[in-house]
Amino acid sequence: MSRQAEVRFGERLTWGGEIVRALVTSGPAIAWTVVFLLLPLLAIAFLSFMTRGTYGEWEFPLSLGNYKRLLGFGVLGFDPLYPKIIARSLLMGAGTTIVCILASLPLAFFIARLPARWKMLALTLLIIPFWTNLLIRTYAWQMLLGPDSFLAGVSAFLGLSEPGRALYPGVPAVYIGMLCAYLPFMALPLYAAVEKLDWSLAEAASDLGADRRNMFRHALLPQIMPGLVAGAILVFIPATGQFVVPDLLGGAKTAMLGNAIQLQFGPSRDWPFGSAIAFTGMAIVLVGLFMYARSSANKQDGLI
Amino acid sequence: MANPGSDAARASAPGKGAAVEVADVTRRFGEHVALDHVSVTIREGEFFAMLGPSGCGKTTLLRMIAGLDLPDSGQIRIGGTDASEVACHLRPVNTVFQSYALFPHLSVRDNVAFGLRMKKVPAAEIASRVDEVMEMMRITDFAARMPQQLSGGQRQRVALARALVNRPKVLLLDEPLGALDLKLRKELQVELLALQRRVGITFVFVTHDQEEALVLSDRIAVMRAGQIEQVGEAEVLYERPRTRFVGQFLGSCNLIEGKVTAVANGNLLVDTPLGALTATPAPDIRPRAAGDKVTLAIRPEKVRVLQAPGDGANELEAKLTEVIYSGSSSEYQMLAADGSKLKAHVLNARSSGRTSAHGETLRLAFPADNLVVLED
Repeated sequence: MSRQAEVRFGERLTWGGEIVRALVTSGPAIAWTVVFLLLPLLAIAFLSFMTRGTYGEWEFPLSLGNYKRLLGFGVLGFDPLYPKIIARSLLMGAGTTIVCILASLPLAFFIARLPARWKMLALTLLIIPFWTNLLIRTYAWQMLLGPDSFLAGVSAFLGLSEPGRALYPGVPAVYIGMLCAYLPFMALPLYAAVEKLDWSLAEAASDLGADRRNMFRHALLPQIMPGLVAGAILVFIPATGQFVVPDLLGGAKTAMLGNAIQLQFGPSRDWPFGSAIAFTGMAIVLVGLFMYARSSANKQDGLI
Repeated sequence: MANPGSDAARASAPGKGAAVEVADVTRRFGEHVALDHVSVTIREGEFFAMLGPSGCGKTTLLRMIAGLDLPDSGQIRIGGTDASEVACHLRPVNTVFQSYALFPHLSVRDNVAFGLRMKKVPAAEIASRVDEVMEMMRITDFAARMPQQLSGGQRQRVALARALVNRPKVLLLDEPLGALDLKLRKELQVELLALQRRVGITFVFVTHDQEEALVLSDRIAVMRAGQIEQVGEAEVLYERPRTRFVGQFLGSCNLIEGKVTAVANGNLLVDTPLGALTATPAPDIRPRAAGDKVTLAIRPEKVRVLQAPGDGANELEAKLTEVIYSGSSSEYQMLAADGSKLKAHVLNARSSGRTSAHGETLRLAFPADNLVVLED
């Protein structure tokens, strides 16, 4: 069967014409992606199979040695150091995502219900902290959570901590810092979803006998799900690789994926192993995303 | 008896009367008064329409019955019980929304089953009731489809099924046919009427389409600016409108203003710019005396175009300015001697014969009992 030339904007396009068009319009983006994303990724993937030389250079032969080491089978016998680091990082990412969702849900509904001119103000206030460097914001939290700080006073007054003691390092401090670092990535997509909610579905659910909880679950949640997922991806991926905040507010006692990689590329000068860690972390996240996409694509199939 | 109306029928067995009573309900949105001391009683098992232009408060009233909105003052009773303290999800009413508001992430079947699931009805009963209603609404074939795969008419049926499966005491319909094209609308009107007769549930529906209201309803409440202008059977409302607004909103009518010169045998003799006219007022209308100003209304189809001079009573002459042909009938637009515009609808019963031409002077008669004396 011969392919009919497509008519677009009143023009009959030939094969060649279409290719030229495609190159002109999407060419730069493709080139950018290939040069700055695809090639470095391939380089890291390749590097992860190489071996560290005596002076930190990378050498052949190719082997699975880095991955074995990553799984815990080192020269000194089995030690699941890196699986623990990966698990800890994933947990950190998941925890941050959950904290961000819990904080963003009421926030998104609150902002969406504000009058138009207050909305802009609220959204701006949400973004303003991002004009400051993350490191500075995190150090600022050290001050805000310090021994003489207002928050420490309140916490001591409530009996949650000893008087005169800082609220960091500690897990709550880490999550406060992480929330502060990633809140907008969750709140903004969620706000966009809440903004265009079809409230008639909520009314229909109430009308059909759904109490408030069921109304939210069956009428609102499915509608804001895309925003929630977008936000979760935007928070989870960088939060998994985050190490500055856990270090500064958590006491730098435990390694995260981020500092493990940094350690290998930096002081340890073991680029192949650093690549293996980075690639594994990325692969885990990608597999997760892929599985999510598959499951939502299956649902989509049901629609057609 | 296994129709979805049985629950409602049982519940209403003692004291068959009012399904919904709206008592002195007021609702304000800021400065705007959406409902202004509205009272109306909707009877058990009737097809009741709330008709009016947009912004007249009809949808607000419907939402209050549903529990989606609450009155600032006044009371709404459903089946004799004060519903003020009953939350929306516990009221024995269900709504068919204007946009249908079907859950896009649920299949047709799950949409229909939603209400029963929320009420924790046992699964087996849900299955049989859903099947039954889907059968009745003829949507069984696309039970597995998603709402966005359905046509407007099909969605409408699903929305009806989703509400009816709960066997509500009252079914509320918010412009249920508003989104459909004319032909489908007509079909569904007939279906809706048959459905209501079959299930026996009280239907309360909101519309701005006067024809739809006339076709479907047992009784109509004509609303305007937050108030009910007139409530009554469709025929009464059409034949005997009480106000100009009702007369003009429900069909079209010629309005003639005049002054009563005499009252004789229950008839009013009215001096109008068109000449002296005799009108027979409805018995329930406010009595008038000589000297009172009145407005008379006559439907265009009640205006008789005389071929030969009649007995002279209530007759006048007018010049034909336009004939609008619309198939079964034609509308004659005329100018009376005093310059006022008149309309007459003439049935095109004969396929040939004399048709009137522009500029021609026609002789018209207004039968006295078709001249309605308005309240305002």
